[in-house]
Amino acid sequence: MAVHRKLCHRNPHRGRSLGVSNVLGAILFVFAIIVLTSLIAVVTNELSAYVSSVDYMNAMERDRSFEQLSLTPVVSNSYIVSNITNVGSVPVNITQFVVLNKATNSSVIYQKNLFLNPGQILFNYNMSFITPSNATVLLVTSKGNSFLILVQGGAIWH
Amino acid sequence: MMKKTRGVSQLIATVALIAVTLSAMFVYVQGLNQYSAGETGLLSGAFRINSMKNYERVSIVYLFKNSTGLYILAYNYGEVDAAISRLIINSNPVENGTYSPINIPAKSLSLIAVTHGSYTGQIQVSIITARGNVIFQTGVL
Repeated sequence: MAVHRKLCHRNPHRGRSLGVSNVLGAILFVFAIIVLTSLIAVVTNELSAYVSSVDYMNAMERDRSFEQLSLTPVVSNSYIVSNITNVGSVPVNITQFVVLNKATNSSVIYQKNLFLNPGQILFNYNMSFITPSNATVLLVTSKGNSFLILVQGGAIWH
Repeated sequence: MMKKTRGVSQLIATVALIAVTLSAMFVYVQGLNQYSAGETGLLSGAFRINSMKNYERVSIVYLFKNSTGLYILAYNYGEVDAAISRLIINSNPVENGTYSPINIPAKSLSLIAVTHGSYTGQIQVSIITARGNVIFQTGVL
């Protein structure tokens, strides 16, 4: 009580000054809180998105390194047929066949959608679209890996 | 004497508080203004540009050449389109405009034709994307 009286004595306009200051201070404080909260929310949201992208990249590159196909191509009735086996530990989606004609040095891209689970075998897949007798055939997967078949003189080159 | 000192202190404190609040609000408004500005936003850009960089995945599948030039078979297995900023072959930058296409759409295979220069034997190809990813591949022509 004694302290209160002392403070009042020191500042005769204390009541009025503190009233204005409190309102102004409260408004500014609320503004500051809103700004800081919004900033933290935006930055946290973006950081979360960044962490998700890192997870995506790691998962993609890990799966990509585990993709593995076994090809056993043979020429049958002037067509190339092959068993395609997924010997890796992740599903493989073959999305393109690229045929590079060695005679003309031209390339043709065939869109495909062959999905193979781990251990699954696609028996005697007919690649009748491969017509050149000298060609490099690439089986491109959805994760950017490629697997090669070489055709030399109408036969499979091993 | 004491009253004067307290008055000045309140004034300075109020001005400082207003300055701090206005600065924070300026940043806030700028940030929100550019929040939807993609990878260049003030607040979001620092993270988003790196996120997009992670979502951009390109691999060089094959290299071959014929009489018309060198061809680079590149596959974008990422989630976002990739734009080639610079192509470097055997440590030499290839002049922009002498290769196309520049953009590799997401989940697609592109055949990049390099019509300038003559390359034989072993070559080293580096693709630098606009987001700063570098894809390197060696091959024998």
